[in-house]
Amino acid sequence: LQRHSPSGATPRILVGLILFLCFSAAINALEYQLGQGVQLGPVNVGGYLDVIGKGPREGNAEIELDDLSFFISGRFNRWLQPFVEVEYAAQILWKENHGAFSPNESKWLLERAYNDLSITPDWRLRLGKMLSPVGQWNLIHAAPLVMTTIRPLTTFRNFSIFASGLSFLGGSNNNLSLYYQPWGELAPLPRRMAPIRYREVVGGRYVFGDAFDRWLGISIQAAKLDTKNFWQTLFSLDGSFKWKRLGLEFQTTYNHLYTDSARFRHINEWGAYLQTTFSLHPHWSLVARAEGFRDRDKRRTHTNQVVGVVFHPHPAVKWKLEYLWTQGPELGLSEGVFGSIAVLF
Amino acid sequence: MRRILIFAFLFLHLHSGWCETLLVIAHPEVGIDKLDQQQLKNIYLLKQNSWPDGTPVIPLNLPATSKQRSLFFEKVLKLDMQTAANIWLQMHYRGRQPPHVVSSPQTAVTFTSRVKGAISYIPAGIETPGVKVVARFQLENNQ
Repeated sequence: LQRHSPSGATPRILVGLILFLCFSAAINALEYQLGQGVQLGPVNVGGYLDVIGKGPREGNAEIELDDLSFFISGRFNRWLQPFVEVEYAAQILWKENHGAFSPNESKWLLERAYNDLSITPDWRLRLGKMLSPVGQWNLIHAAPLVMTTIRPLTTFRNFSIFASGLSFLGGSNNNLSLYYQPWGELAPLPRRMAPIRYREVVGGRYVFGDAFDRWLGISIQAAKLDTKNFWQTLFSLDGSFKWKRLGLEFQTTYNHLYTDSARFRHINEWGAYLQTTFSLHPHWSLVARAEGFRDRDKRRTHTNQVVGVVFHPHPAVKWKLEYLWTQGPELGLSEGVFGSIAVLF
Repeated sequence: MRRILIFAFLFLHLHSGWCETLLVIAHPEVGIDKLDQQQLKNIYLLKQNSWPDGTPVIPLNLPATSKQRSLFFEKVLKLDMQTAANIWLQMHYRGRQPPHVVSSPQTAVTFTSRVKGAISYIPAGIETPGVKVVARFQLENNQ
């Protein structure tokens, strides 16, 4: 009875009120900026939303919640700087001939979960699940930060886009990263999203330049396939160059499979894309891209081209409309019109 | 004679444009007493994340509309604000925390004095109890 008496409840209410006021004060002392998350003391909570409209030439049109991602980072001391990203992916909101919220394979996914330790002001040790540093697109693939709805195959296909293990990051200009995954991937993506899994992954990346406007990145990754029991080694070169209103970026990869050549059509796989952007206005840009990809399992080389327009009223918001053409073997891309709205919050 | 001197002073003052001093302040326990422009750029672009003793660096920003913020980025860091905003979005996605925005220079002083690892910039002339000045920039606009 005493536990439920007003005299017992009052202190708890007071403590709650004080905590609420402290919490409110902490929020109010720091102003929220769209795209930079909410700061709650040493913790930052952010995320992004991406809704895609698809109008393929063949097949049904649909509107999909491609990603609803939340990420939380903490900076407590030099030893404890955790980061976690979870996302709800691939929820169909409407599909032609099926209606709204038709059943599909949407899923909560663990994208990243790691802790950083500051070894020196220039070097960090990262432990956990992280994005593997193979090209800039894989490291910054959030929809509000890229210029097209359709992601180039070169930036993700047939290599390990995650690494679960340890990584050293740093250098004088934060331009070097080395990583090692000694076992299978932590919380791997479903097979339908990532058919190949990797048991052991090791690699590194070095970036020349400032990694924002003008840079050139070299990446290498050796990975052992989980089920097929052989190694592959991928080399990647990517870069970006901006000159006045014009922007150019590219990535090219070469992947060698150390296995019997009879198992695949090719044991040397490659991909390359070149993308150009032109700023029409501070809030409007045109984008065009051409890509080629020779897949290990396909006899012919796949090519695709994208032309689109992007409206970005705020650096954290992008509206995109584009058309994709494809030629050659089917590699998961459908020809047609695509549009999306993406917001980083 | 006095009028001539006043006139000459006003003429020189107007001719030379404005002049403003910005101070960079840090929590008194950060293990560094002086920072140059490149070090500040690394801190505000989130490339340097910790002080020599390992304490996380917590950079603060004044509001986007503040004159001192545009002066600090354009004259001290030699960066346009749009580029800086885009960099922070990318770094935020990569797990770094962008500079915290405080509402005023006075709040910046209070926050910096209380939170270990904090660093900020403020206009000169504001009282700075409990912080240390690690850089001073006299900015002139010679139009």
